[in-house]
Amino acid sequence: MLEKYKAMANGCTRCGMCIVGEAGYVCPVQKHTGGFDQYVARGRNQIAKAILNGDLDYSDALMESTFTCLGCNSCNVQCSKINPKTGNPDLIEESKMSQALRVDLVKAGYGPPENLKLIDENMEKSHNPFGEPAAKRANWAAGMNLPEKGSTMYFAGCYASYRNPKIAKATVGILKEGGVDVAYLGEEEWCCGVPQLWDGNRDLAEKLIMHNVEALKAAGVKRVIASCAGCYHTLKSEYPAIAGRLPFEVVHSSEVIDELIQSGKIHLDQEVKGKFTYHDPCHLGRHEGVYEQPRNILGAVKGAEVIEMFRNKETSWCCGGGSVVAVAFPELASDIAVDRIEEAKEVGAEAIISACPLCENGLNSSGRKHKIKALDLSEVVAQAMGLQV
Amino acid sequence: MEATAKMCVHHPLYETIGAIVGPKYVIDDDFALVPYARDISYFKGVTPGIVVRPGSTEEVAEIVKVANRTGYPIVIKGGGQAGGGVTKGEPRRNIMIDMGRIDFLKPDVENLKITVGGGARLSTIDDALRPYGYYINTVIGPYYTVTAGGLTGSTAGAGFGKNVSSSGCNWTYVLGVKVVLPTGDIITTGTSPSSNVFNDSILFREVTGPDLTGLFTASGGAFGIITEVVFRIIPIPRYMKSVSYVTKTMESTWEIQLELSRQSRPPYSNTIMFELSNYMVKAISQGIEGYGAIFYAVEGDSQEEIEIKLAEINEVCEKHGAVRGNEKMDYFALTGATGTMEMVRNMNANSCPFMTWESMYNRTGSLEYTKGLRDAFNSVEGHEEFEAAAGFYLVPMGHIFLTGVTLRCKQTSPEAEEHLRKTWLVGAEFMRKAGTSATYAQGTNACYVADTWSPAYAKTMSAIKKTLDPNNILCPGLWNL
Repeated sequence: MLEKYKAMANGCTRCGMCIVGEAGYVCPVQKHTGGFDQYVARGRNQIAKAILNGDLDYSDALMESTFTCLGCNSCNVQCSKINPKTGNPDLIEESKMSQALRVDLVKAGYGPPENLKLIDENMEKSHNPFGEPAAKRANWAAGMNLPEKGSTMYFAGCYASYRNPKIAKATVGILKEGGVDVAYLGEEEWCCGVPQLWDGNRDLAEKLIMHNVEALKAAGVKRVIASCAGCYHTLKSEYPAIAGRLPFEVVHSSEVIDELIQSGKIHLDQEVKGKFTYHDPCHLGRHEGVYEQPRNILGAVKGAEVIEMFRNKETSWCCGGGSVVAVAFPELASDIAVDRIEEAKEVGAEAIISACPLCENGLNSSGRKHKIKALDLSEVVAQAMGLQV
Repeated sequence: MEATAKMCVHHPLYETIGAIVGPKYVIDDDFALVPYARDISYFKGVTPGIVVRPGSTEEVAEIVKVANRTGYPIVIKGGGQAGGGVTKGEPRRNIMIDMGRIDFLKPDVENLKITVGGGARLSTIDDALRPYGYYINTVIGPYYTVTAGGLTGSTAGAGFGKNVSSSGCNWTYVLGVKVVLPTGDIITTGTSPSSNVFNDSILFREVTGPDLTGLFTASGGAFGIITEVVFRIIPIPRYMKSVSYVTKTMESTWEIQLELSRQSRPPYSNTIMFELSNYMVKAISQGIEGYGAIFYAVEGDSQEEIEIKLAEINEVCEKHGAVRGNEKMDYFALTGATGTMEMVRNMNANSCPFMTWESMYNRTGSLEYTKGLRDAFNSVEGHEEFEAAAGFYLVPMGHIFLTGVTLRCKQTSPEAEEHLRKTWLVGAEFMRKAGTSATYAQGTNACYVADTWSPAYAKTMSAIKKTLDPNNILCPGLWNL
């Protein structure tokens, strides 16, 4: 699979812009490891090139640096490569190369790391990474009378379904208030496949993806609303590469909620007092360019003082949970989350607001002892609307 | 393959060095050494035997002592942005010291200086000074990647600041350096250097005795490893305005450059682009027509000062037949000629180049050098074929700080790289005859430069090297020493 990216690997000029950029050091993983070039895009590209040229074999030694990449795209936005003919960016898709390297490494018989093997087993068994019974997936929607078919489908994702149902309840509650009638696949919603896209198990990822695409088609869906940034990016940008052109559009809940506020269909009348800072989920921000809508929403919340962290939008620091690093290397993920928590504390924030359940989970897990909490944007909006979730 | 075969066999110094810096900061896996084999140029790579990221001057000194005891040579890596080829040393035996971890920043605004670790990136130094309203006169091309130690130790002695054509090179702003000598001893140069046992901090470069700072700047690491640099800091100007001109000929462009560099009201920064038809220049010249373009960014502490400087520039440009550029060009002048991301994106990091530039200030013969070099390169057969196959091109240009020729390749391939190397050798021969010094005088490139040394100079350098580095541990072979 890496072969597909040979031109990109060859095109890397080793300039090092992926190491330090406008907001200082670029790669969270480099900061918390030995910092050698193997952990950053420049180094990985040279390693990929050596493999593709037959100068280097896959080996166990490659596992750590290959599986610690967060896929956060921080290096990608710093990449300085341009097309000299057009003057336009000619970026090296580092996340894609990282994914491909993992797939080939696993195919060559190395990895994935043990924790990820368990995820694969769970996924085969019950279509979620936690190993929870598939029958429990729709528990959060009990009593909400959501239809299984419809033109607009809410895609809850595994974290909101099994770990933080408040997010799913809040999102659906907000959408309903705004007159957006959503359907829900229930047990037919499987994991979006992002863990397997990243743990090297491409076949399983494709199985999950194809199932979801077929289920969404069968439900007559024209628009999918995802509240998880990971699901959103995967459905929107990874699915077409595997399933072909999709017969539905994919949007993030923050885009829809922003529209509802702007059009006056929902009103944030209740005060939610506090100093908040917004953490850009990598999959929503750098991968998909959704930066303003969540900020617009927070700006509309009465009583909320919103402060930007030093690193924001394109230069935002990852929460540490990306590309299954939180599962494979939990300590590394936690250290990176603490960086972000400290950045929030530096600007005096009392809570970090995100738009991704995975970010929220990682920041909360690491933030407890730092006395700062993380909330999902939907929870804040629901509170501002006076909704009980 | 070699990669898997070596997995369990560590470099003989792996444990010893790991004990000094911690196991997390030393690597010797074959795959992990791959990124350390090359800089950004097409010079052939040299794979080290082991790479270490020390966290302090003292750790560097300990590693150097180990090298002396065991005979393993040391080579040094800063930001990895060099364009002169990596130092050869002894392939597969070298201990490569990656300086990136020694990246501390200690602004001292009261004394108008900043002390930084040798691994501190230039952009992070400015980041630390910006809240105080200061900056350092530093290079802008590899602004985000180059390290303070790498720059001070290599590129013509601390490099070329954005105002080089009006304010000179950067070495005048280096107050002193802390250096680990090839024996593992640590000294501080500048004022009251370590000879003063009561105070080894550097305030200003006011030594009462020989100042060794110049020995280490631009030495490439042959005489010592720079682990700490003290820079003089400069107030950020209150006002800045940009302007651009389209020029008629290469000669008139250079005449403007020379005449303006003799003006009495620095600083300004500028970029010259010769040959607007060229691929790379096209991408940044905003579609204008003409022979070349000059972009200026003028700095000052009042609006009046700015206007006076702009008037002087305008007078000289018009005198030599240049006409005003458009708004897009003016915008580029502001961003491009002042060292922002746009400049870096557009000019400095698109492909692995050979660079053969010299500093662009008022220097007799620079234009002839640039033209001669261009013609020498053009005399090499096969350019057209490689242009079609690999996008090969060469760019004679003045830069904010340099003038000369860049050889670039849009698409890399072994054949294209070989062609670039072949072309480069022609240029190196030209440079030797012209008696000019190439910038990026590091690694392989430094040896070409050393070829131009007079016998007496070479003998002196050799004697210094032997005195400081009796075991020839540090960067052996650099400068042909």
